[in-house]
Amino acid sequence: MSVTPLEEIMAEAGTEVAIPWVCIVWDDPINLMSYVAYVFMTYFGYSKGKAEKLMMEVHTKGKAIVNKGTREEMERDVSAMHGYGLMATLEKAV
Amino acid sequence: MHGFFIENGKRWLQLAEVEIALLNSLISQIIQLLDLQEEASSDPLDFLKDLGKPIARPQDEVVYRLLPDAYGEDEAANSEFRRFTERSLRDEKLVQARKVLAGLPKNDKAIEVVELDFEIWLKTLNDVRLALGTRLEITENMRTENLDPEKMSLLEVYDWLTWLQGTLLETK
Repeated sequence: MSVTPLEEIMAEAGTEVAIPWVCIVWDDPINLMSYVAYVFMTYFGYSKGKAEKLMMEVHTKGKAIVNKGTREEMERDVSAMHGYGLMATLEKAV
Repeated sequence: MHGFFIENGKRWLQLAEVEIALLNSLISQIIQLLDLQEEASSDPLDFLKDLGKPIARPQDEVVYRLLPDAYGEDEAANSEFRRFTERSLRDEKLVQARKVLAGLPKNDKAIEVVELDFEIWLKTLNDVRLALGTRLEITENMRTENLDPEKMSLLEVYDWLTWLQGTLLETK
């Protein structure tokens, strides 16, 4: 009988526990596209390319997942997005 | 028309006096909206009594736009999040707005805007645009033909703010 090493079980459980939430930014008609991209670059430290891609996703699809992490981390991100005036919510990752 | 610009390696802001008066009025309105104007209490620990109390979602649509919900439809989670975060978000926006207000140019001569103040200017201008845009019920493809004169002039102010924020972003 094969036994799954404890490290593997821990690692699997770890990913599930550690990354169950997402921060979502929603499209709104007021925030400038250049401003939204600036916020993604500045706050998340994303490259210009990634920030603009996410901004376009928000703009064309109505929303985009901008970060993943623990519930506490995503609450922090959502608060920061509200600080910048972006529409943001968090929810459990599907 | 100057707005924000870079010259000699520094960031500057130059506005006409009428524009300064306009910003002064708009930022003051944001401060009024966000300031809870609590009566001064003699007990410095009074705020502790309010810590456990739930905070209702703001009734005013502009205040709600500036302090939105974090959990979508989940009302219990929204209320809990608001209880722990709304006060600090409100205070952050107030501190920034007051700092920008105090640092407005006094006349039509250019003033330097140091790097440290870049974000508070950016966020405060954005809050003012959010407030005005929410009152105007701005939409992506807004039709302006049928707006009444009062809304039309507000829309001009909104467009001017968009231009001003754009000039600031271009200095980054």
